[in-house]
Amino acid sequence: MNINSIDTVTPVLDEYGALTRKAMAEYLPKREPLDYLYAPLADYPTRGGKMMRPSLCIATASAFGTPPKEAAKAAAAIEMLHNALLIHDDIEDESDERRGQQTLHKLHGTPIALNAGDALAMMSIKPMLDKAKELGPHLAMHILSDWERMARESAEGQAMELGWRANPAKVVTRNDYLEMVLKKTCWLAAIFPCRIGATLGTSNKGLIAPDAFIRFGFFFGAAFQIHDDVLNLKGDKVYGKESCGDLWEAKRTLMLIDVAERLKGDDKKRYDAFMMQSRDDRSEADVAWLLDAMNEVGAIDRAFQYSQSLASAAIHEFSRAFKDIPDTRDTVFIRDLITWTFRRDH
Amino acid sequence: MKKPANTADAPARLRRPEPERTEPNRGILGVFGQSSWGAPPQGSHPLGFDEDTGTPVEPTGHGFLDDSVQEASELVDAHIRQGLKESAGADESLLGRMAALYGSAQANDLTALATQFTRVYADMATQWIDIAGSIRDQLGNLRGATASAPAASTGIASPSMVLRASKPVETRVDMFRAAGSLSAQPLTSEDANQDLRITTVSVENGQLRITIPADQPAGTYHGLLVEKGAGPAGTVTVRVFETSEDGS
Repeated sequence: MNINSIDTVTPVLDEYGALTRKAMAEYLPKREPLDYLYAPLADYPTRGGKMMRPSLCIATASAFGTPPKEAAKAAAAIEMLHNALLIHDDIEDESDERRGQQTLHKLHGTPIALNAGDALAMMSIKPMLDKAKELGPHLAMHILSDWERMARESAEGQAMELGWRANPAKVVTRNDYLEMVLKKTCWLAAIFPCRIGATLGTSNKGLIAPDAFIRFGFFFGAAFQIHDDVLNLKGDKVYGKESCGDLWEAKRTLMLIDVAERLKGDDKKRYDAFMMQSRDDRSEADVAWLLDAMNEVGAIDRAFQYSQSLASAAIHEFSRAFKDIPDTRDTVFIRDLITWTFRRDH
Repeated sequence: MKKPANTADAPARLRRPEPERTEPNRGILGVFGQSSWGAPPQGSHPLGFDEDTGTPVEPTGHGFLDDSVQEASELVDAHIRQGLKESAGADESLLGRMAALYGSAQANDLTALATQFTRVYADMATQWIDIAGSIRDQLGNLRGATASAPAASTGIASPSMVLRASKPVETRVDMFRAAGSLSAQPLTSEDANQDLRITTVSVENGQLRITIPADQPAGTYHGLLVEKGAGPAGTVTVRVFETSEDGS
């Protein structure tokens, strides 16, 4: 099959994204205090994200024999929590834009945005509970246990990254970065959606192994994140975050770790000084210099190639995870979602 | 992409063919979407289709990848091992904490587990009480079977009880932990259609006092014992029986 000529991803993202939005709408009430809570917390979920996480959940459930509609509530829960964490991320990163519009705290101020994020995170468990109710106590407890672990891993990953920002002199290795991504990104972006989807499956009676989809989700999520980081350095206004925003923030990406290991002499001193500055004190000239340095040492190309290697490993893990499942539109979607990562420009 | 074959009877389950092993591939693996990357190692299936949900992590078969991806593979394997260890060791995870108090989640009273879930998250945020309470409610189909069972032998002292009732009743108090300065919440029926609560319940001078109104419908009622400033510390369960015609 020529995967470049047939789009096996976008139609499924559209279909399952619409299912998820419909389910989410039932859990995003339009009541008072509307202006200060319910409207702000419903803002990000209605801005039109990629809907990759909920679609992965629904597709996995469907691949394991459960009709897509039956997984919509679980998918809605995942998307709601994702958006709640985005609100908090934007505050912590002091970001100005999200999905092409002003961030929530820019629009409403940090206190209202923070509270909306808290509320959305709490409310996100409700659709999952409503779904769990249908499954019986045993599976319900497993879902809640997985939810707790996913939330814990995500928070730990975020803490690692925030800690590095608070300690700019700390030397971060590639493995440190990968562990952070595994926790911060992969659990919510891929591991958890797949695990919940499979738990909802009927063909496997909801039984999944303790390690199910962790390897697949890690390689897929890490490939996705690294490509995302590369896009940030190449982005313009089409890309939803500020162009080179990661450099302004001195975010520890694979490229930054790479260039830090290769710079010598005065260049290394300039890099160290750059890292010790606050975001507001960093100059456009320094950011441009660092970007040039990354290109000169090949850090961006290497990161891109590495993300491709991780994607290759993800496809290998996909073959293992779904080897007993018949090929369907859903399994093709999940597999091709990995390569779709590299075709997107945002 | 192949399609499932149709037969007159039940269609045979289609399985992905086992790819043949080729020479080891190193570096970036060619065209995306290729499927012939060697058979997965025995015993490392990530999905447990039967009862095989506790399988230890086996080698993942990433030897054909370049060294940098091999490092990543080892990192995620270590993460999986850590997760399994935490799960088995009943440490800080929610289920682990509950299992440490109540034993295996499969073998014990899920109502008690859910109630414990209430306590665990009550420590974190009051909002979780409502959420966890709804979990307990959703697991309620097991409560009836356990309401008349002996109280959990936790070794924690329960408050003494003064009970007034004109109907036959059974009572049970389960304490999560030792607590002083208790108050009692109204007892709510486990029947969602029965909204007449038992509100005449209180803790006075260390005594739990419950009065069952004469017109209280038969059924099982639950409520929390709350320690002031510290959250839920135990549960009260009262089972009210109908009075038979001869008054017994």
